Amino acid sequence: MTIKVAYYPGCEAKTVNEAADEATRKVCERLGVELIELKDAGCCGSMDMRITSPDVAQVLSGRILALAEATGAYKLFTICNTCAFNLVDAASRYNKNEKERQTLNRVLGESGRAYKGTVDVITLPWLLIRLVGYAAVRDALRKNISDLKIAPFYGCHMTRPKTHYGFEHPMKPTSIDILIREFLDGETVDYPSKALCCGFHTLLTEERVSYLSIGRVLKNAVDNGADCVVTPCTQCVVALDVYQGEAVKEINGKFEIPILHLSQLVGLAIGIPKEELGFKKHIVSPMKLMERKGA
Amino acid sequence: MELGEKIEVTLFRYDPSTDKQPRYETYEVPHRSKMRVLGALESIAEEQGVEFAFRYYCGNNRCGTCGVKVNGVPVLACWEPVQPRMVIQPLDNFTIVRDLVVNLDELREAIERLNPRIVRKKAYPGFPENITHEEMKHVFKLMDCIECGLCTSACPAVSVVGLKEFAGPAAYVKLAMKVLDPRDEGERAHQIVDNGIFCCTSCLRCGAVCPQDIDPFQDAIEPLKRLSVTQEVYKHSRAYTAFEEAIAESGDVNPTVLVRKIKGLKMVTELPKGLWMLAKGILPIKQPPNPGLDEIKKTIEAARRQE
Repeated sequence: MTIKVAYYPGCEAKTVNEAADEATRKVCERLGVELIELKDAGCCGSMDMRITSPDVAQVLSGRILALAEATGAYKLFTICNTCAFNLVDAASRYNKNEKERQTLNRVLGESGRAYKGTVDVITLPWLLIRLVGYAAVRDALRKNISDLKIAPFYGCHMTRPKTHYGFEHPMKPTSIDILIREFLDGETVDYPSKALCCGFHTLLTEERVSYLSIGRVLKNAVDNGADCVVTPCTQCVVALDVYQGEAVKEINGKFEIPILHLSQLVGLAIGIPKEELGFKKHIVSPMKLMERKGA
Repeated sequence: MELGEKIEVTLFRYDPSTDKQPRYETYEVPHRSKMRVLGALESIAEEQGVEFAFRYYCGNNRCGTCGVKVNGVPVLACWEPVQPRMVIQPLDNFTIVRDLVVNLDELREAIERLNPRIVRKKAYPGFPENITHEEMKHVFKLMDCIECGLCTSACPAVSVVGLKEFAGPAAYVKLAMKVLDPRDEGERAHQIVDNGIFCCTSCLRCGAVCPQDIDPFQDAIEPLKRLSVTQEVYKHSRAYTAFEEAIAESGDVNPTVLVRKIKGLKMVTELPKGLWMLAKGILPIKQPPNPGLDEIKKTIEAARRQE
């Protein structure tokens, strides 16, 4: 049976982190997940529009939920944690509260749309663990990745706020560790920063805070023996990879470590050629590491 | 866990006046009915006669003095159920006084800096004042704050810049309680910005640890950031307004367009990075137009009318 999900890649996956989008599409195709892309969807407003116009931002997310509902898929899948947060925040407002939904529908009605309140928002670990499932991922495994020492980095908005999710512990998440170790037979390193923040949302305002945050996560991963960091969020990839140079300089470090989107790692393990997983589109290239480890 | 089953408790021990570095000691305590972390600490101190510093007062999630870290997560010792194996450490982001006790005066100082009192310009109209439930609804939840400091200890921004530069989520909860109060007429924007609110990286860890289920980020920090951005007191307010502008113009947010909007001519300083990104094929110069753009514009207009 094919699993159908509405697919909302988010702005980073359409621009700086296209690699994650490419890899996600390949992985889903291989695992029998049909992605119905919401081409008409726009930005969810990120954390910025929540500040300037919170109500308009929620309507934009509400519109994305309505687009997802119209596909008949009933699960809305995104590969960006902050998109997931805004969408899940809107869903928690519009799915349960009829009055709020009526307000939304008055706005959406002007474009001939309506939202009935049926959409669930999911992220990549959720899709793989809950929808695709252990057996199907195991069947698809083609490559041994156990030589790689992987530091899972969860990011913030996939597990918090605790009132909106329920998939895992908001301070001690485990899904990506389980995915890598149990589903993909890979090796993870344990390090204290995995549920901290990548600092993405202050990159254009308080750079130093971002660089120190990025630097801490990366140094912590390297100090614990990691070869690469894997995250389910496109914004985390951008912060940790694209701004790695500045961050490492800020903490007076001397190292570099490749950052992969979770979809790229899964793609690697299920035998999708590296050329199709966007491995060239990184600032810190993972290619050398892959060659060294024969992955 | 069965009653009487052994719980393994590893305690953080450190006296800064005599010890060069912290050490850990492990004890076993029998599990009891409805046992909390504080019960396990009490058992080690009272029944096994171990002398170590920990602090508590009310024992029922109200006084906020018994915060510790259990297996890496900040909790109130009196309210957190025991786990079969626990590593108990002092809260992060505060100076350690001894063992599990941290200096919460640092939290009070951060709160004091924000002067969380109602400031009036007009004369006090007398009691009771004319306020409604609707006006107070955002404030009521914040009033549950017991100043335990768990949120501030969990804050990754405080841990990189320190409490002096960023007063932390707890202090902003106390401030928001007054700012969002209809009786407050203080001009707060500078105070909000100067105490580092924009160091907050929006990670939401504060709300994940609050024993009173307050969400300091959504209930306090976001409204206060909003106030400073709408009054354009924050020097980077443009970064926020530019974001909304970008969405209204093109539906999506292209980082290159956003940086150009924010930095204007100063964007040249980003040139080396831009070229490097270009070489790696990740610099988005032009993006295909969003097919839903007309509808997005219409939706934004309609939503603004509703506001």
